[in-house]
Amino acid sequence: MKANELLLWLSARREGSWRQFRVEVEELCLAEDAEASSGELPEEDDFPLHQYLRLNLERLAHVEFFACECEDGWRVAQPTLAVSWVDGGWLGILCGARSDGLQQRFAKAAEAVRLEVNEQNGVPDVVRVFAKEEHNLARLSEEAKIHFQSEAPLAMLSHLPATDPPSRGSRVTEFPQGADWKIHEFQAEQLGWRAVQRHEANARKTGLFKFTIHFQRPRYFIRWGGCTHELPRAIGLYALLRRHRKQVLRYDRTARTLRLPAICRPPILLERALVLCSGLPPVFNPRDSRLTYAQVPEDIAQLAAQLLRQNLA
Amino acid sequence: MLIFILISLIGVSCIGFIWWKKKRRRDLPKATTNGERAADGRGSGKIHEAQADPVVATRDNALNADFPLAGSETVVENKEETTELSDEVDVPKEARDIASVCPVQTEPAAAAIENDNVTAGPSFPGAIAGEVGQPIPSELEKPEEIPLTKPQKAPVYQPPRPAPPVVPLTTAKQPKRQPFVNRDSELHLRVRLVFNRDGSVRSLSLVPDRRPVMPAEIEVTGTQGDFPLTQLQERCYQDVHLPDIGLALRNGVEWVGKGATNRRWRWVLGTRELYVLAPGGDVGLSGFVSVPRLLLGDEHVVLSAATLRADVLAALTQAGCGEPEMMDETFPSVPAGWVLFRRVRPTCAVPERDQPHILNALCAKRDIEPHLVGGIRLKRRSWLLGYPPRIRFTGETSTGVEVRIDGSLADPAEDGGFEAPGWDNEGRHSLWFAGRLRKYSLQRGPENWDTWSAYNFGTDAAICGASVRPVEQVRLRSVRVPSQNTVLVGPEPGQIFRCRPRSDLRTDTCLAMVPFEPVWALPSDPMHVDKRSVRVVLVSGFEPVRPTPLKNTNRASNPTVAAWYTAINDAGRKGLALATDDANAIALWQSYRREAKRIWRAMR
Repeated sequence: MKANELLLWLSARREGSWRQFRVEVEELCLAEDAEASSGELPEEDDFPLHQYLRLNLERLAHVEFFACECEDGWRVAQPTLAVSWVDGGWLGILCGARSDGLQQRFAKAAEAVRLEVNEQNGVPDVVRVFAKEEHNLARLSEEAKIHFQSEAPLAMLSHLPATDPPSRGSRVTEFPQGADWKIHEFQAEQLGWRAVQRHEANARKTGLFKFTIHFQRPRYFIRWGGCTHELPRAIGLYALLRRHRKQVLRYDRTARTLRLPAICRPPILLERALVLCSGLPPVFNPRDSRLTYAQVPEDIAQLAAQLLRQNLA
Repeated sequence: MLIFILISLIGVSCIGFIWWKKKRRRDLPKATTNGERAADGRGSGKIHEAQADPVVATRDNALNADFPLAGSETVVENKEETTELSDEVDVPKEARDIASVCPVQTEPAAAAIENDNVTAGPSFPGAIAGEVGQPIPSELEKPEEIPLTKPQKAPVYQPPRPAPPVVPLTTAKQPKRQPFVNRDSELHLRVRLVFNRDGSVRSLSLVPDRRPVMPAEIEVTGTQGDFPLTQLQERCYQDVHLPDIGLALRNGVEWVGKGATNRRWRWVLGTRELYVLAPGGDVGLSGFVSVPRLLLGDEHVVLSAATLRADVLAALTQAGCGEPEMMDETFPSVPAGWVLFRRVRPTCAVPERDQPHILNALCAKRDIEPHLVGGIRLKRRSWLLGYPPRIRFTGETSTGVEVRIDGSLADPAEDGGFEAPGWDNEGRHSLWFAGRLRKYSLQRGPENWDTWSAYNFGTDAAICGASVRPVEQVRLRSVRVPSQNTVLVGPEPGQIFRCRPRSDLRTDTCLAMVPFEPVWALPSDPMHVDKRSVRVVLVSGFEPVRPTPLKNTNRASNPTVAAWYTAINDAGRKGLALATDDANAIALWQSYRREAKRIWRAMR
């Protein structure tokens, strides 16, 4: 599984630039591995493989990209056992950096509990442990010399900001200048992007706009009350959905699954909290273009919905 | 008198000789100095830097800085490839045989390049030698900007020709210093082919070369229009997918790019009807990448015009390739008018034709070349312990090439990779083959990773990966409590913590990070809650209260102790019930109430 080797390489290098990451994805010939998993995000035709891998590594809390102390690239997170309550006991998910030595230590320490390793396409092996008592997992993490994070999904959601629109005190900015920018506006009703001209974007009082140009990552701007603010994609998207009273979250209490349109992918840390409920990345359904997060407890789903300013249907 | 005249004559002669020497040196182009330095191969990497610097043909350095000389990699390749030089430079192997991919090279240049060998001693690189005798255009002596014009037609591809015999140097004479001709730097365009898992063609694209001095992003104009190039690796830009790749491959491609400092570069792919592709692992690319010719023992893909199908098939058969798999334009993504030959593995060395011929590219190269592929590479020649590279060889190996690793004889494994005892142990290793030496190493990866903060949203904790740690480096415990019970008390009097639930969220529970092990979760204002719904919650295990002697009974001096007993007493006075009916829990709560009452009386 080449994704495992990618994580081993990232862990051995500790940190690096975005270009180094892309080169390594090429060298490990990861195109073949991820072929079956591609097509998750239909809203962008040009969602290349290295972006898909980056997304999965972030979701599963292995590596941070473009965050503090790694603004220009990536840095591997410290090994952590992310623990949460599931029916009948406690679930621990091995996240962060990985090495052969660590995996051997972990397997040895996990002899007293139930260990499970899941192979997934385009994702490093998902290592999960199950125990009746939380202190058993705490002891396991101590023996394996990794960090123990109790109530990982709740802890993460508790410290995330809500997807609120810019406040009056937020910094006002302007759209980037230049004729080479391609501009798209997000359509809240149709849940899609539509190409627009600059004068249309300037004329809008409310809207979310994506500016793309070659050589740079897309930039997202929201027009709110006639002012322009730059902000992350997901924050602006859900702020706009709330304004249009568009509810996109669906929760199945029986199956404990949370579903939403793939184009409305939540902020990465919120998505990480949802993934840490099961340790498994979301499943993309090409028929309805929705992502499904499995084994999400209701209270976590409620908290996530509140952060997204959505109602759970 | 005679002596005086003689001395004068001698002095005048000396002065004249010195003046003549100086004049001669002044008239010579500076490039020759650089070229000689490069040709004798002094210094790793520095050679490449010297070539990247202005390799001038005129006296004007500024102008010549715009035109780094093409074929500098060929100069590097004249060196012993197994030294540190190739490590530093990491030149693709096909840079040796520049003629087959860079069609602008003239015949003498191609011949000289094919003639490259280690023992020839200082000699000019083939690309430079090809320009022997060409005059320096006078306009190049003036530093004027040459406008960027769109190329109209790609140059013609020069097929490989047999290498002339090497004439060893027998005299110690310095080689003639030839002037350089200033022109655009010519870079390669490699054809790249990637297959899907099911064997169908995923993509056929062009990969432009890059030099270290070139920008990470550059706009180019060419026969296919204007578009940007983005750096993918140190030595190449990202693939360019053309809408009609078949036409481009047949008619050739020429792109010109201009950097911010008015430097110009030119990428060229000559018109041709045959491409040979080999696994791109050596250049760090997945799939197959174009090379000058077949390599004995390696798997290839051959892309040829449909009109050459029969000739190519015959040539491949002659090279011992068996029956290759053929894919024509009826297969998806195979360009119209082209045929793809897959699973081409030459086993016989075929002599080249006397004249330049396109099918000479199907005459497999005999030279034995090592390939360290696979594994997890950390640096140029260093791999992660436990994930070593596979050591394979291409070239004439049928006669039996002796391979030694760390002095021990190495044998090929089932997959063709050579192994010897201890070859994949931690440390540095030496690979010896056919009189050449190459080094590689295996190093252990780290087992400890730093704790760091990736995200901080202004709360008391920072997020990194799956961990949520307090900002202040205090050991805290995460505790889930009901949103109504925001006061946490511990077993010791004075251990009290008030949670601050978020005002923007309405949840039934919240997470608190507490600096002690809490036992009870109490409401913040027990005297004014609805005791029918609010309960006292036992948070953790049955931790008994730890009575501590009070040194000072002044309430003002012990605010935390006062807060501790007040919270417990108020909850008791209100008559709040426990959330559990467990008798042990009830008994525990009573013991806490007794202690709280005792302290209250002592401090009253």
